[in-house]
Amino acid sequence: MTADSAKPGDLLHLGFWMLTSGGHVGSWRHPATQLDRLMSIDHYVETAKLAARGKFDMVFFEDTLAVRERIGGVLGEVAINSLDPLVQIAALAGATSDIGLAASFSTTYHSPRVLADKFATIDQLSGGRAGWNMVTSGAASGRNFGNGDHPEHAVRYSMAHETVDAVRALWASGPRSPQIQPVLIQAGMSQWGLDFASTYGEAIFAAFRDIEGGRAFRTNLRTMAMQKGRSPDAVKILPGFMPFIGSTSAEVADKRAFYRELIRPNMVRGILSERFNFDFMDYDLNQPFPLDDILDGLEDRPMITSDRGRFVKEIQPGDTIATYAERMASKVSGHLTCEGGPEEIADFMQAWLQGGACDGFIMQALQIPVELELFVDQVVPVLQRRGLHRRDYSGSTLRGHLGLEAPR
Amino acid sequence: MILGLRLDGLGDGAVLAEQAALDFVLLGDPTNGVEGPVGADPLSVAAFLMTTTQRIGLVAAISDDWAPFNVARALASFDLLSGGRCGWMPLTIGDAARSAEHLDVVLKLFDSWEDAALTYDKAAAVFADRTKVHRIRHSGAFFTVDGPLNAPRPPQGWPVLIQPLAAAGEFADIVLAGIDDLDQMSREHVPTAVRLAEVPFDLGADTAERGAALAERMSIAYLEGRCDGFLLAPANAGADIPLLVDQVIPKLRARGLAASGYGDGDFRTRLGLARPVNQFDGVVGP
Repeated sequence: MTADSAKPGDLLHLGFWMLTSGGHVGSWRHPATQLDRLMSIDHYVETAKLAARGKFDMVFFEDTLAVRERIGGVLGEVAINSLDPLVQIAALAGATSDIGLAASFSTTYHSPRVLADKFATIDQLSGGRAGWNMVTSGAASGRNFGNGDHPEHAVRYSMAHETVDAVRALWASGPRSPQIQPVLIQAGMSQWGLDFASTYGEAIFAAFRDIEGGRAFRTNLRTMAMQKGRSPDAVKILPGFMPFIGSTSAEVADKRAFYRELIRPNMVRGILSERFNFDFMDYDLNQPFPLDDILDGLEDRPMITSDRGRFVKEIQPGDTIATYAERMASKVSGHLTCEGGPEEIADFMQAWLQGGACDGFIMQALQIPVELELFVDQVVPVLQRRGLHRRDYSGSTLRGHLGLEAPR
Repeated sequence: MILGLRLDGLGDGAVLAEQAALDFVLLGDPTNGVEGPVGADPLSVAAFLMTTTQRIGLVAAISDDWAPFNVARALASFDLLSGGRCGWMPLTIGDAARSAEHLDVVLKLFDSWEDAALTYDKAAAVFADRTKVHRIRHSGAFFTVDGPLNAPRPPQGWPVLIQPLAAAGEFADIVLAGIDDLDQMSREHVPTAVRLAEVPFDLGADTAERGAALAERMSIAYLEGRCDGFLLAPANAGADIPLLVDQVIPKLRARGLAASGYGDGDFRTRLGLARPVNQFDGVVGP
């Protein structure tokens, strides 16, 4: 067993990231999006069943503990995606079989007892399909939990270590599910995150620019896991991925234009207002980017003061508001993307897997269900034919799907 | 009469309870704030039952040592996802003043989005009307919570609130008392809430006799107007729930006292309760 190789015959591990209407910011305006169903469990049940038809290892829900805002109130130009993820996966446990059910939940704003009880219960109810993405939550959460300011990064991670140890001790004291304990998932690539990931993480969500970057990260993390007495295969690396499926270049171009059109100017203004905590709503998108206006009085907008350097670096000479926004839109998620027909999408995924840069992907669809259905119906059969993806589930636990050993 | 059923553990018995057209099941006794091994989380069990049943009301006990923002968000999510089937019973860990403030914050958070806040306007690219979403700016002795909630207002306005008589405040939708304490739950004492008598039962032996006695006892208390219904608490869920459905519910139906199906509307509507007015209606700005 070595730290850097992908063994021939290794299967892809696929998670599907459950956002309301899809991974594209304009997906809520897509003609196929039924807005009155976005908060109904039926929508999520149908989506999870579609992902299970594609033999995904798991569906995954993110978590936020505050509304998205721009000056003066909520960010009304984007779809909210903030329902309690544990209520969602508990409900899905009753409506699905086989597919794993993972959710983020905060180590900062829940006690070990709450975390242990909830995940153990869902693990029992689902027959061993639960996964917990351990998150420390964003800065905006603090104001809803009244304990002064949101704790700083190092404090949050030290709290997370203590919380996860306590949760695991509680799990060890209780009834066991068929997978013994929920799968521990983590995202985060800082040094703190790496230490945490190599100690506890079993599936790691990550963002890489290229295969070399992915391979370096994966090799490093597998080595760190080995140094801590774990098998390198006990840690699966899943970069974010959103495919752009179109069989011809004309089809891809049309689709790009269609999705670009879904983002209206007021949405761009709203999202930039949120990002800079600055009111862009009356600005013309074709005017030069108003960097001086933003830097002026930045100290009065404490939420973003520390980001000054990053902002200044991101904005290039000659940028209009529109060109800046377009550049940010393409990189803000940090996800890998690939465009082309089913064979080309499969080529991309295969190259990453067999290049030792990942163990699979945590995938978003531009729109749910249209683009997920396209992936399941067109790309999944290609992956299966190449022997890269399971044709059916061989077990019924998330731990089994991911090829993970029982926790120590 | 309104009929509820206490369930424990992982909620076995809920499907039978729905076949018998009971109004709700109550998942009780979270272990939050308690020492000891991991236990079943009532809210997660209730959420699981959202998809294994279709109509029955789903009530979870929730300890108030879970932050009010978390409680409000979980319940609003549950009510939205289930289309208005959610109820809750707060359990007090700390003192009564803290518990009252906790409830106050949760209700404010439910109201932080006005009912009309979601505009869903694809043409204008406006998902939500920000003038109808409000910070609650709560600052009290025990909690400081800014809000708004990151979920819209639940379809029932507020999920149905169940409280024991001793702890019940002005917002209780359902009030519970032991069947021997119904004198304290007269209409003078409890003017608007649904009054339920909690009845422990055990049909494991002498089933026919005990079943008939239980139906008789419930009928009398109900017909005398001493309560509006019952929360039935089985001694042994596995044995007692099928016997309840077989032996007791048909007798109540024969007397015209128990429903044989679900009427229209959400859980709150079926209980005959009004939808709460939003305390932030008409407030201008965030």
